[in-house]
Amino acid sequence: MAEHILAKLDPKILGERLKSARRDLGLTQEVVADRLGFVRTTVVAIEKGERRVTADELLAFAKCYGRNLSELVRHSGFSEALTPQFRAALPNSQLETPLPEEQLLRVCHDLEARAEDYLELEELCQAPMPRDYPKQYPLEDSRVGPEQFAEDVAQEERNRLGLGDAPISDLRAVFEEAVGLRVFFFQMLPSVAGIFGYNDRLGGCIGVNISHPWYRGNWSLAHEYAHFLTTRFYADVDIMQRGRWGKLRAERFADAFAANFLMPRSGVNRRLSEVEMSRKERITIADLVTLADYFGVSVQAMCLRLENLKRVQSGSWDRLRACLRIESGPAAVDFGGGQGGEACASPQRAAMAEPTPANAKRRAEGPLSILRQALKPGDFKPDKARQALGLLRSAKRHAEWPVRYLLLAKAAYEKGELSENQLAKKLRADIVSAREIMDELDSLVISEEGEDFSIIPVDLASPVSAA
Amino acid sequence: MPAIVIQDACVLINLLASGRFEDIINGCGLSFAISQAVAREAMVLHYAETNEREKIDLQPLIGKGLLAVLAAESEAEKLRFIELTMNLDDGEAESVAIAEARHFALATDDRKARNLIQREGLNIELWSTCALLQHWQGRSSVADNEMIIILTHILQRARYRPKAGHPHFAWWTSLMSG
Repeated sequence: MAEHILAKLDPKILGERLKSARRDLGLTQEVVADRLGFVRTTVVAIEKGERRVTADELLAFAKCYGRNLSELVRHSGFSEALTPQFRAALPNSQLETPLPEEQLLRVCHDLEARAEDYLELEELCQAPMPRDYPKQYPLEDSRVGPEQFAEDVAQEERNRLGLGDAPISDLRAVFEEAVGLRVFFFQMLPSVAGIFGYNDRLGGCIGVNISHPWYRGNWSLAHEYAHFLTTRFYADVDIMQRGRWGKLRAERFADAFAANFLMPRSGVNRRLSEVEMSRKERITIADLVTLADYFGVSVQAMCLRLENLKRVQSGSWDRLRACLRIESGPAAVDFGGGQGGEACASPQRAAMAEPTPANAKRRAEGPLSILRQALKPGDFKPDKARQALGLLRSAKRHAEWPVRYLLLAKAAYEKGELSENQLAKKLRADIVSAREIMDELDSLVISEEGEDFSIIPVDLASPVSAA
Repeated sequence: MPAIVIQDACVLINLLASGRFEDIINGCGLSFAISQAVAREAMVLHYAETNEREKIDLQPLIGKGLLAVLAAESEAEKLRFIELTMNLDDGEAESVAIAEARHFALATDDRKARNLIQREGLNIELWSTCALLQHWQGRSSVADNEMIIILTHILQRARYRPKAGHPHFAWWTSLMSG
């Protein structure tokens, strides 16, 4: 048996995994050799796959790297196929302030590990991800600037996906279900907005920073989708930092695509016309905040889009922020091209017009109370403005896992294809949290028979038809 | 010398959630152990009452001799451990490897581990959380109302209950509805 099991392990794959585990800890081969009482050449030979490990050596490596043996030896484990792409994509040379490369790579590894787990669940459940990938739109083939090209591509993609020019209520579901991408939200360095990687086996994989607000997550998703459309075989790591990075053609395309895909010209214009016709007033700050929520983007992104569409004066966003920094109370901001003083009252009126109990209370407190909540002296707080207007989507968070991923995990676990520990690892959770997540998937369905309604507990992962 | 039962992490968490771990361990007439890989796992209990999470510290239990920690020692055990990690997680794999080699019993609720033992025809006596609790209740004459409190704790703190089709489903439900 001894030779049999160790002979089953491909020394090259195992060597690569050991090397990667060592690098993740920032250890040199010499330090590892020293800690384990090996000579350095042994570590070198094992990592190169030139020498097979013994059982004792393998256990010692796992202990030294804090890794589970199962991670190192399983065939379907992490292969790091995307790592070279991610290494090439790390944008440090483009940034004014470089970020720690090891931490950036860890984010990339995390995305790849999640995608590998997803693929493994699909294999266990024999449920491959249906893909409906669009053709590639090579940037170098376009004869127009990246911004114009982005608008054309965004329109084509919206048409292909049957989205028309309406706001997209669940962008993630569109990319997961209609396109077949693997989308994960997870913790990243604060300045990393999102990452993208692709290979034929895993398909398109997008990771978005889960700590960013909901609307920023939408933007990052659309941005990464743009990379999938144009430069599929090149990974992307999107850093929120100014510098040369933002001037690259591919990045300009990706941002312009996000703006056009999330806020299509015709959809925005129609919505604005409706707002203007209903009140015969110029666009107010409250309108801007409401529109941003309607299209699922940040107030800044909405304002810049309106500038781009020439529906507000160029520089409105900069003025909005600058004006509000000067004064000691609610400020006047001109969003319609008129005098600054006039617009001051408009957002209050619009916001106060919302028939919520909270607004009724605020109305009683005085006309400036809503804006005082949103506009603290010295800064504009879009989130507070959203709250003041009762726009609750801003409080939403994207879920870490795709629903399909959770259902596959549950099905695999209940079939006995995953142990409870393996399930917990797939969910990056402890065992009890994993049980909680599985319990939540035993949801309730309301049955309706004439005038009678009854609640039926169901296992959402179970098939509807009998086998 | 009482029989030795190796607990995997799932059973260990459930028994710890009961709030009567020491009584159960002492009252079963068995010796209990865990594998080194299980001892290394980060385990947490959730207190629904206060919404708090408590990291489980095994050291006091090991120190009191309630649990022994065993590692794969011989070359054969180590190789079997490695082989089993191709299917199972480390904690389960080491537990099975030790139980198989040393003819110990194994306490696990894990369907995958149980299926593997059955499929490979391994000669390992199997226990489960419910089987241990029922054994302890019978041996130590624990009253039903006391058991209800224990099962409620397990349900609330470890989110465990046997599902329909489990051999102890009827035992659990009849106690809880009684």
